[in-house]
Amino acid sequence: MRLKIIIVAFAVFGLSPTLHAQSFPNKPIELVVSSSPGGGIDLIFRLLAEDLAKVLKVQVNVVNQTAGAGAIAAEKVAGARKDGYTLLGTLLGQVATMTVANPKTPANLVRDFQPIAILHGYAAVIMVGRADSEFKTLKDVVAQAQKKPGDLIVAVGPAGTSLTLEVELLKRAAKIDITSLPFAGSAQAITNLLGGHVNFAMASDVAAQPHIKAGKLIGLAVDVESTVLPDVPTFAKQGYPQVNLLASVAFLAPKGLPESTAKLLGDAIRKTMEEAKLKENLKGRGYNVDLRTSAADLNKLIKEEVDKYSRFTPEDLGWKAQ
Amino acid sequence: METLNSFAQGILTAAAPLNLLYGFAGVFLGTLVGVLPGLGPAGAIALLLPLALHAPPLAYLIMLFGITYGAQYGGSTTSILVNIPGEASSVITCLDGYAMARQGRAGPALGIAAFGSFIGGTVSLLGVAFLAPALAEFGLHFGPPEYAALMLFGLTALVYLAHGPMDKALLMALCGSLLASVGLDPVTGQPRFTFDILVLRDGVGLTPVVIGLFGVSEVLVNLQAQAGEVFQNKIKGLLPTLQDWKDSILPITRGTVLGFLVGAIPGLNVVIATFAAYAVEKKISQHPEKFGRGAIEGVAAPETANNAASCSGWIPLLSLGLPTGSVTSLIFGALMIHGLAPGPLFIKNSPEVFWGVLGSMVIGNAMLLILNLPLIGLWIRVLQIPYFFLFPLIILFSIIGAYTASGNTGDVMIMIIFGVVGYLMKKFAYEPAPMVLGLVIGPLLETAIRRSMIMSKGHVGIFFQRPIAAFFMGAASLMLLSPLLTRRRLGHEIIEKLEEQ
Repeated sequence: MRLKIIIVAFAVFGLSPTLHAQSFPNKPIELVVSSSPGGGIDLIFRLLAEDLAKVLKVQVNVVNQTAGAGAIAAEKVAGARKDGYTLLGTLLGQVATMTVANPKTPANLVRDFQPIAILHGYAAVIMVGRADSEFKTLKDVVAQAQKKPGDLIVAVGPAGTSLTLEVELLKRAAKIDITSLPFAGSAQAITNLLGGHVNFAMASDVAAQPHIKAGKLIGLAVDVESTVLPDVPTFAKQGYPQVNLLASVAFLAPKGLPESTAKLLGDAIRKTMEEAKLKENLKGRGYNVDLRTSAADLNKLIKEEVDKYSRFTPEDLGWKAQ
Repeated sequence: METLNSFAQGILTAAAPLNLLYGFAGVFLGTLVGVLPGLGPAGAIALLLPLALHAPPLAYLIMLFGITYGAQYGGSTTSILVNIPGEASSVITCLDGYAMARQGRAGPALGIAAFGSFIGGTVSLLGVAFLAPALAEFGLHFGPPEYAALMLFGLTALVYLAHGPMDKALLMALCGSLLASVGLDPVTGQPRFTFDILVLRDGVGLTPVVIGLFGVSEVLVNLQAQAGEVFQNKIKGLLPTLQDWKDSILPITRGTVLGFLVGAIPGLNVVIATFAAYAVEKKISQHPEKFGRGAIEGVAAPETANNAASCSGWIPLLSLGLPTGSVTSLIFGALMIHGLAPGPLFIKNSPEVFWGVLGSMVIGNAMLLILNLPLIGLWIRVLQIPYFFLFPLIILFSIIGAYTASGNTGDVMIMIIFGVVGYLMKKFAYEPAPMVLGLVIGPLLETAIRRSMIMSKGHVGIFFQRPIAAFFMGAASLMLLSPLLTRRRLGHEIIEKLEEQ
């Protein structure tokens, strides 16, 4: 009899969402991050988790799950309990890509996730050229590419990344042809540009900055205003607003999370971000801190993100068509 | 002279008590990370990143650098003791290191690995101090065609230098390159050989394959042996003897030079330096048949080369601001947070950081030697653990190692599969090391060739029109054709074959 009461009590307390929300959070939160420890966006989430734990007064454990280009991390969180104790830290584009390539994925950005917070356009992608070359502006590049289609070579990143896709968008917008040469990332692309093996490179602003300061490279265009290179004009300002795959970092929870829990988490993240020390640290690393947490804003951003990637075929995005 | 002054100043800076303390913490952590398979320096540094805000900049950097070269010391320990490479750069050390351990000579093997690492690391540092800017500029001349030609030259040289059954080694290297082609196509991003299994999208990981091929298969083989047959219980000496030193001093010298050069070229890998050093020693040795059966040269050369290469590997980052791998990218991030973004002006603008870190590496290498020598006595006791305890423990650590590399159970499955594959390979006398080499070099060669072809719009001429590429292609062709002209090597092999029969 007593046992029954205990079971009933557990059932009531365990399942009732209101009671749960009131006591949230009362145990460690797991933050599944889709890049390797120290790689890509891991750092942002590690720095945030440390301060977030102080605000929420529970541990926030970062768990790295890189397999399947972030798909496994996304699927894990999409299928987790909807209690706010399992969150996904990811590049919004990564999940949007999967959603576009295969709308039936168990990790569909629109159908399976509840956005908590988004750092919009968290880092800038820059197109750089050599300071000793004849191409000083984006205009020069477009003019030359029109004259000799396919002759110019630009070093880009792996398939499906904004380093690569933004060049595709520029080619479409300006109706030009440039040869894209994919490398593992910004550093390799810049190395090959410095060595004179390519004409231009797409890179993160942070990786390009020391070489621009040293007078070896020049910035031609950025996709979003850069905190470390404020003088470089955006693609939009130079007549190509279509080149806009701004990389955003997102906190996502499984869809169906109680409203109050989502708000509590969003507010906690906002509070954390507003702390001067963290903000300064992120800015020093070249990160924009344009944080969005209102539900309307978030849903709009998610829709836009899926639309942006819908312009590409699954093959462009590095996935097989389903 | 100015360089010497700055260098001395750097050592003094690094010898300040706080910097010493952080340096010690770094090399100690590095050794631990090196010993544990799966957990590499990148993971350890990532965990320490939040500390960046609280620690003094230089001391913090000294600690991070300490982790990276400390790991090279630790990596050989498990290779020698239980045939599991703690890091991929200690794969080749398994061959002779583990054989030495089975003969009761784990002590000298661990000892020469520590001394070799110390010498290789320290000499390489001097090279970094004096040659860094010049070498870094030279490295920039290596574009995709140059890498492709260099890699082809390297592969040809390795085959040319190899002794023993070349067909089996080549076959394994080929299998390794095939395995490396699983996953996303590095150029178009299309999945290859993934069979819609998500885990395979990232390719077959080096860590689980290495742990399976070496560690797990060894346990499986040993299970068949009678207890007591695996290791000779009598431990012969803790430190290298005078004879060991005589055998090792030249391999250490050559390993240092080779490691330094390979490390200085961005994009080449510490793993390649170890394989090259081993191959060279085997070729010029008076008794190549001893290799793989406990030749101390086979431990000394690669263990020296990996440390030398990991030191000169800093050249592209420190003198040009170009991170070449995950660890260097992490350090780049750590420098940036303190407003010290490395770049072409780094040495000029922040000399105290550049020379301080360099000085700390000299001190750190000495610390590692002092730390590791007394540990040898402790480590070799591991071998006295009864097998019914030791084997399950090895399997347990293997599973943890494969899992921590990416936090994925799929990698544990890959490890188990390659454990069985490794067992079968041992039974049929196939070497696992060439397979690992194929797995490492395969993707580098493939991307270099395909990038070159994109650059040239499909014309093969690109490999012969650029001076550096043409030089390596010429050297490779010369090596391939020379047996035809001299008939020496060809004849040599036929005679050997006949003798065998």
